[in-house]
Amino acid sequence: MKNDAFPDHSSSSELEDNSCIPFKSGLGDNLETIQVELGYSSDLSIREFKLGSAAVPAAILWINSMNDAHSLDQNVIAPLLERGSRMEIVPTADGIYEQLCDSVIFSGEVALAESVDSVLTRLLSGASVLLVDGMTKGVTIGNTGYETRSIQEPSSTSVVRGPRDGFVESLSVNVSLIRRRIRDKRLHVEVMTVGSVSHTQIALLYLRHRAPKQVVEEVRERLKRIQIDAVLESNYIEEIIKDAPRSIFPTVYISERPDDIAGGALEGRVVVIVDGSPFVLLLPCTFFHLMQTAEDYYLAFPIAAFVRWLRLIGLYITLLFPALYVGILSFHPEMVPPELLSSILAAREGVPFPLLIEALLMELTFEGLREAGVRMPRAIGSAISIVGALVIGESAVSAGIISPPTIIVVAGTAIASFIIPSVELSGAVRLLRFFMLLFASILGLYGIVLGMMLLGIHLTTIKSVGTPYLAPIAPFKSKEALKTVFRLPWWIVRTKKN
Amino acid sequence: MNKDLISDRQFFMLIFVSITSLTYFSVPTMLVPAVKQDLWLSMVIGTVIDIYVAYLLAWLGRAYPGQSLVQYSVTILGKAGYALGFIFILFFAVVICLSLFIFSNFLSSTLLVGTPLIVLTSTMAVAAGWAAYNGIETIARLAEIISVLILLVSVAGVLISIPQLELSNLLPQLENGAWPAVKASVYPASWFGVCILMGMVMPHHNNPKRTFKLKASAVLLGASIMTLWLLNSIAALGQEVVGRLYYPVYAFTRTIQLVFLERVDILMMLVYISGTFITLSVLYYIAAEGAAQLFGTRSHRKWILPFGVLVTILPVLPPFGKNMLHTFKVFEFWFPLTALLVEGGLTTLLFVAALFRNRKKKPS
Repeated sequence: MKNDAFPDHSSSSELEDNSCIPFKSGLGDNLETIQVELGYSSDLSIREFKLGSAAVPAAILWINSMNDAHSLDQNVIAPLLERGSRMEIVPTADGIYEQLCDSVIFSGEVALAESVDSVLTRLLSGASVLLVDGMTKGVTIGNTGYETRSIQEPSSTSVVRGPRDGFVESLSVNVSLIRRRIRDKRLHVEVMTVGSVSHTQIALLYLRHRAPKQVVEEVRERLKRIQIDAVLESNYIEEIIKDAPRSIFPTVYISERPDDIAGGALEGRVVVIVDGSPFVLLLPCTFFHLMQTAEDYYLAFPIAAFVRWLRLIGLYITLLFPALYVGILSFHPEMVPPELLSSILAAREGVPFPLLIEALLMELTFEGLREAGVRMPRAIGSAISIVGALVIGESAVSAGIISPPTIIVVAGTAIASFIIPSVELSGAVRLLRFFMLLFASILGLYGIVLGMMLLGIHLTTIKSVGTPYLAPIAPFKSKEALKTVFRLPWWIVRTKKN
Repeated sequence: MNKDLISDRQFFMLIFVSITSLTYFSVPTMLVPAVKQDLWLSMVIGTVIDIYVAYLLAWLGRAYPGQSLVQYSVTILGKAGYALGFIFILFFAVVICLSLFIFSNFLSSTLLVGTPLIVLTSTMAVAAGWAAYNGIETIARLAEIISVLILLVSVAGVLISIPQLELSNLLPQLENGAWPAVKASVYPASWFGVCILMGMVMPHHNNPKRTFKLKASAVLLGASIMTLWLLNSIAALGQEVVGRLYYPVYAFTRTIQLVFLERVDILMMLVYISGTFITLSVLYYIAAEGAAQLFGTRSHRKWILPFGVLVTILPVLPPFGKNMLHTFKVFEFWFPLTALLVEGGLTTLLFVAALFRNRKKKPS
């Protein structure tokens, strides 16, 4: 008898917590039990029929919306009625189910279920269930089928060059998207169920010969330890399993792109896919991993290296530009070349706010605009950009409330913040920018250095599944660092690997 | 036990950063007015003394593997070792206070004029305390990044300043004989000697056989870069001017202009501030760890707060703070004296005692 496509590792432990309901021998009793358990839900369908020459009563059960009706008719009900009725079936004899599975049912995925609970779990995840009178077991037939989004280009990241497919909300499709790229027997897939109410499936993928054993084990352990009622998005899992849960820095890499994730798996990282979310997790994840994109590897290598540096500069600008602006102008104006200083001061003539308030005001306005823009329907979105550009940009300056240099600083910061490829990292840096602003406004450049040191201490402290967050720069590993700073061409990387 | 380990490179960088940042802020104030162009001799002697101490510590560290300075003092001397360990810890705390004081004083007279000392000492103490709380691995990783910055900035600074140099300013050499330079070598020696922190860090080094070599080369590199800096500033500014300045290197960097940047000095100072931060964090960490080892506390973390309060408050109290004359006396006389006694004297004592112990053991 065939097993499930994905052997289930943890669901049994989850189920043992509930009181286990055994099967009774009568079909009617069993159907009654299931209906009672499901609260006579109206989406439970039952098709009763007679099996074999002895006309043994039997029934097929399924949940309407979760089941592929076409496949059920073709592969289960039709052969059971057609061939099953001609079979010699002795009621209550062992081996009925084996007989049926072996020579009647067409579906690929069939399994024996020992208790009502396991039947219910499978039923609710879309399988159909065959029950025969007189038997204290059931057969679950996996013909789950519900509408899923088709594979599209991911909207969170787009590429100029590179594959355009993106993950969807279905676990099996997502696993297939990775399998398609790595057709190796050493790509292992482990599925477990998490969530005492949602029963969400989670898949753990890794390349056996590349992923370090202790990393795989650590991630598996963390996944098994999860105690939660429901998982609606991979962020639930991410927040529970990540190292340094209080840190605002992401220590789990997230991507919607299968090529990106497959690349991670090839580097020996562990992939976690959560059913119902197109965002797939990758561990361990370092700071510099977050600063790279899959597209780096599809561009010409000098250009990719240039883009990487640009991102790093962008990161620093996002973090420090407003702080430097406020800090230098309020504490060390002598650092600015005289011509520049005089033009800045002339532009600030008549502005009623202190520099810090002005900068904070504009930064917050920008953050507000950005947040508003994300969730707005496209039609209203343009209105927001007009309001932002005209009202805030033009009018505030011409009214003399905000000085143009501040606008330039905020705009520069905004552009730089968009260069950072990871949304999570960009968010963290944008938030830290305000702390830097405060530090700079209190202690000037010394404050900024102090802030950077605190930040540095934090970054060097946190780890992601045993890998230091700033690896391979600190601790320094020359070969990997070279690969991080430059995008080495494949003909160098390949020869070294082989 | 899962001990924090640091690699060869990290160990080297830690020592290098400590040497350069201590020299940038602490040494020149006393050294330069005293000997001016002969300072290289003092620096050389200071380095030699420090390498001698490093040799003793490396020997001790290998004779008592896995033990820190505080721990093997107790192993070697028994009860008296506790007193010795206590002195070492106290010494580290004093060094933190002194360098914090110098650092804050320096900042409040250059970068942040008029900022109360307590603000600077407390912010730095909090930051360094947090670093120490997170342990030596964290500090060492950060040191890796910062040391590269320091190295780059130092080399670049020396290169940029070449057109301004007047080598004749460095003459005459040793006009009063070598003695003043030898005498003044106590200043660099006492500050370089702070690197007896090596004795505490050594158990964390994953390759103790190379500790001495790394330490010696780090000190050599740091000392030669700083000597070059100091000589450069004398050559560029002239002996007369430099002799009257408190912070000659800083004054010298003020004269440098890089393309359109007006004030390179501030940028350089920022880099050295981060270096000081690393040095203070290491000192802080080993003081806390030493205390934990001496008093049998399981984690060094419990000692962070007491030390933090101590090093924040002390530098702003008299004899520091108000009375510059007292302060001057401390740095001119008391600190070099105690530092050399602790760094050179006590370590030699330990070494000799350990030799005796080993000799006694062998026949029996």
